[in-house]
Amino acid sequence: MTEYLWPYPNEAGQTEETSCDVLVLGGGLAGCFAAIAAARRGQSVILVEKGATEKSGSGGTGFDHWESACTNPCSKVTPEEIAWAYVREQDWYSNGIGHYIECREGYDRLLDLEHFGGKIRDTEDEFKGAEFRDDETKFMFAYDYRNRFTLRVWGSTFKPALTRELKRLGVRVYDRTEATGLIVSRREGGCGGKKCCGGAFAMDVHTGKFLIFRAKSTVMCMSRPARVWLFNPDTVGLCEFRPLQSIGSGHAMGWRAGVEFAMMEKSVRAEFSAAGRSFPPYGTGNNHNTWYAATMVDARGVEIPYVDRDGRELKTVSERYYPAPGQKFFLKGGVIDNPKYEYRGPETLDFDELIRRGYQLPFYADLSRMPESERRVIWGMMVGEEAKTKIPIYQNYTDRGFDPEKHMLQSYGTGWQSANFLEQERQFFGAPGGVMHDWDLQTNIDGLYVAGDETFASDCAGAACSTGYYAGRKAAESASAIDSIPHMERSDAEAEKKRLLAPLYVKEEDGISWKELNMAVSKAMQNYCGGVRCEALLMEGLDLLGRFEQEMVPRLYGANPHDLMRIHEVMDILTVSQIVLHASLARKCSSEPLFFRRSDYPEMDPPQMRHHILLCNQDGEIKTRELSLDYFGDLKTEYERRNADYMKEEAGGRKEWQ
Amino acid sequence: MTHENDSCAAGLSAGYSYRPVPCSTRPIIYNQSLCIGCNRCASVCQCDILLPSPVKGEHPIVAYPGECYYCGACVMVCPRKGAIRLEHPLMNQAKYVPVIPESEVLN
Ligand SMILES: Cc1cc2nc3c(=O)[nH]c(=O)nc-3n(C[C@H](O)[C@H](O)[C@H](O)COP(=O)(O)OP(=O)(O)OC[C@H]3O[C@@H](n4cnc5c(N)ncnc54)[C@H](O)[C@@H]3O)c2cc1C
Ligand code: SF4
Ligand code: SF4
Repeated sequence: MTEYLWPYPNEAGQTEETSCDVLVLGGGLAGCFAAIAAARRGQSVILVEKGATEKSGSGGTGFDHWESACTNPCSKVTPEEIAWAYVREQDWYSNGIGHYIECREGYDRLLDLEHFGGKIRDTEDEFKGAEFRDDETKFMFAYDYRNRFTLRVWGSTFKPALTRELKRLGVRVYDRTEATGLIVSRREGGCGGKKCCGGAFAMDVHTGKFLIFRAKSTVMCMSRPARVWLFNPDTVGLCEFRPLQSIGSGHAMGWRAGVEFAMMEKSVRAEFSAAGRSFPPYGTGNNHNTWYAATMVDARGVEIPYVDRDGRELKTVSERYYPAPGQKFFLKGGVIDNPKYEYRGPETLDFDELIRRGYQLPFYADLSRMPESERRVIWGMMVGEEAKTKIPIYQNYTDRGFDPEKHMLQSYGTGWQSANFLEQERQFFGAPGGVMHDWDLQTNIDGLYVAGDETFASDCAGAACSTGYYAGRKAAESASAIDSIPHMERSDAEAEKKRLLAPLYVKEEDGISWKELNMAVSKAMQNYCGGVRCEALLMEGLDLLGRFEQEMVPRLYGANPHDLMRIHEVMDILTVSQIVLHASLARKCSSEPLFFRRSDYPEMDPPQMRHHILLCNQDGEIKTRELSLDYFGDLKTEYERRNADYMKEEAGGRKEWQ
Repeated sequence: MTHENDSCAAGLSAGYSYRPVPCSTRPIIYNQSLCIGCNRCASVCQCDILLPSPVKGEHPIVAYPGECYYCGACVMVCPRKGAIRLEHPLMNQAKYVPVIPESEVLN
């Protein structure tokens, strides 16, 4: 194999130090909005993004539906109705604060996106007169056509629009820069004796330069962990649902700094890994999410019936988009899997029942039997705007000759994932654990905020945008209230730089590759922290990972900054795996809502255990504490108490920004 | 503020190197006759798997094909239609068949 010279300069050993008021880590949807909120408030802002902000993150190349826009002019539900419905649907293992912010402010962020040049309405009248369109506002709705709180949007226009706005506002964007550690000050005085955050360390992934970003407040928006149980060294980029770049480094750096976590014991049997068991999301015939409510047929072409929550068979396509008699609204979307009766919407008959009735595999999505506007909105808009569909699915299938009027697309397995995983193949999916926060989205460390998928039990794109903006606003308030940047120990910076560059000094013949370590960690997690856990297994897992940390991490080798980035990721994956093991040890019961089973504590959700177990690492010692599941209080009251300014000046898009 | 190069890294100042990492699939295929070598695709890829070619004007090198997330950003930003193609791995290409007209369904 040819050896090439690296195309970028070698700056290993160099250090750049810079400062700002508000530092944002991660330039996905949440990070961009956090930076915009802070910049609008006159703060100097730096945004640090590991990839390239223009199309980075889960929503980098698009997303197709925006949930819980309860304040849009066509909505027939209130923010309280929907936010509380999510809390109840998730049995209170739920981020009530995040849901409420999304329900309350999400529509304002959509108006922002439109203002920045994103497309949120059918301005070309392509779907004029369609049942899901409001012809006055030109908004288009998904799922529940009566209550109209989920919008169909042109998400592929959003990241470029946000990137332009960041530039216009003078936010200093550091692309190709991975944040690696938090700067934590333990000094008495400035932070009232409490730990506070003074920015972050980072590395340029093209040159290897070490960066020190000092800041008065910091917002973490680096998404959630991945590759903990699922790894394939050949097609690494396909192992998980979310982008390869996001592996939970925010969690790992937070853990090292003493940040508190909730629900890290939760994981579900995997749903997506196109490196093996599943297909590319949205690329096979199905009737969920992007494809809701596609007509499905069996191998003989017999249509598969949709039923409402009472088992009543629905006769028309239109009925699939309305609540059942006596039901006000139903929930569907990213974190809704198998909803309770109260919130359950129309669905195709249960798989086992279909087989009993003689329906034959394979099944297909047959859009040719749907009204023209429904067919066109699924194939062409939703498949097209949804992440990762515009080119590899919509364009490529079309080039290959797929025509939704003439062809039906095959479905594999039973669910919308088109996959069947084993119990020990797990994934952080459907509102997994993450960073704990208060009503300001501040963590237990002063000056350190969190938003988007990095928060515990996070929801989707609308939640990322709205919690991002909210955290950016609170971080700006706190930055403007202090006059100096918290102290940084020089020795912390030196140690971090050394840690980051160490693999460059390991010889290939003495070392191990990051892939070998990732493979070993994910196998260990399948063995010791799979579907059913117990004390002895978990302890064995900790022991093995501890040995990897001691013996294998120092042997990781790399030849350039790209290798270094992948190596840092696996070191963080190792840390995240340890958090999961500790969290699993701490919960001494089994739990349905957490998809958590312990053979030594088989009792499901005993009443005395129905609370959060918060976990943090205090200088090497694991501390836990309990927190009641309703810690956020009454959503409306608590929100309004803290956001009077926003309500007066900004809500509903009433403020004209320069 | 930039500090001096410290001596411990001096051994590496000669420049880094890389070897493209082989992989069972070929996510990205370039058409050199259409590509103008502008490197837009490389600069937008969030996974940073494409590296500018050492030969000016030529298409980037797919250095880390196994790390492709199959998002399509590189194709979306390319100014020359057809210069770059993204293909799912063969195992992930879903099957489709002609519809069965409702009139022909036996039931
Ligand atoms: C395929 C797919 C389809 C989806 N469809 C929808 C949909 O239709 N509707 C919906 O509501 N939601 C959808 N979602 C979910 C939604 O996209 C996410 O919830 C949302 O984008 C999360 O935003 P975020 O900013 O928290 O994280 P992300 O957008 O993922 O951004 C995280 C950013 O952090 C960066 N980063 C990571 N580590 C570091 C580091 N160490 N240093 C610096 N930067 C770092 C990453 O590069 C990335 O840019 C979808 C997700 C996927 C993957
Ligand atoms: S499809 Fe996405 S991940 Fe793959 S090369 Fe293109 S931009 Fe990079
Ligand atoms: S963006 Fe297109 S034209 Fe430019 S280098 Fe890439 S493939 Fe070639």
